[in-house]
Amino acid sequence: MSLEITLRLIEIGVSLALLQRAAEHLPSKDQILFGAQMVLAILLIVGLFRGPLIGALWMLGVAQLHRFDGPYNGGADKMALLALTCLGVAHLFPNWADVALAYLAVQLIFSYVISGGVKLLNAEWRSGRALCGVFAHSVYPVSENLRGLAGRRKILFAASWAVILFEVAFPIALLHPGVLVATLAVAATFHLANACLFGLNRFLWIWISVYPALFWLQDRLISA
Amino acid sequence: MVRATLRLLLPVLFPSWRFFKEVGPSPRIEYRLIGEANWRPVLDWPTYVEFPDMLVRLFWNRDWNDALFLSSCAERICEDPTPIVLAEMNRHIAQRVPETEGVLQFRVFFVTEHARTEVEYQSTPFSMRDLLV
Repeated sequence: MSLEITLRLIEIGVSLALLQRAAEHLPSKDQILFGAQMVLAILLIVGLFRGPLIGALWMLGVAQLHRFDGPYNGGADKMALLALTCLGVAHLFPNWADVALAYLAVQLIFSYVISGGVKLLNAEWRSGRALCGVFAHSVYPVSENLRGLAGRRKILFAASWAVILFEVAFPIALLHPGVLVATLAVAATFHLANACLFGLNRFLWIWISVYPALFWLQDRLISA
Repeated sequence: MVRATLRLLLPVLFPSWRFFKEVGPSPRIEYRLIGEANWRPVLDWPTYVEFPDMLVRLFWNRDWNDALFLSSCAERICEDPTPIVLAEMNRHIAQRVPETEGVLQFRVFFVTEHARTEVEYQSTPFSMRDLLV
């Protein structure tokens, strides 16, 4: 996948994710901040003045960080602004575009590997008790009946190890194009499950929007 | 301004990605109208969410994301009660509760599977007027 096509796919994906996110903030006292984001995201999808639009979206993202004294939606907001930063660098400094895109791809890999690594080092996760806690008392389950899953210890033990092993082994996906496609299909399904069970819908959209960076990185690694 | 921006931006540019590193006690928020004795939960979970509703929420999940933001504010206010976090909690709670006027107060405690902590933060009462925008 060429650098230009990769950047364009990520721009469109991130713009769609930002549209979805901004729409949820309307109407509110922040409607100017998020309304402007929607307009800019639509213009970026159209594809005119891409560099300035990415810069403007980046500044709005920073303004939103100030507005909420941090990310409103945790990791999803971080990934969106990180992607805009890398896209912005790629447009502003074309000679550094591949470095910016590689950084985004590496951070995407880190998002799985580090997340799996910290779980692997945690005895609560290895025993399945941590995932029981997520269902039993955390704020995340979207309904009370899901809390009943906390009692399914064997299933949650297996699920915990499935998540840990998948996340830790994620970089193996770069070894072969077919493996990468299969791995990202599993990863997207994982995010879909998190969106359904825990309401983390914004993570699904922003994570899959930066997946093209991995295809590009794999091409570069294989052709090197 | 520059220092504040760097404080906010550096964790974005160099993220830690430690999702669910630990699953500790989880915040719960309760509120009451001044003059009433009963504390009531701000957030409530539906008994059941139908699968079609889950699919709709993939695209439109405003209320739930607002609830998650409020919960993260509850954790932050117990550690570092900044004016911004307090103002956000006041505003979001005023918009979520069924009452539309009066003076509200909220408190935060934490729960595990079998226990709950003492109240870790209790706000000063605030008027709902001007917050319901």
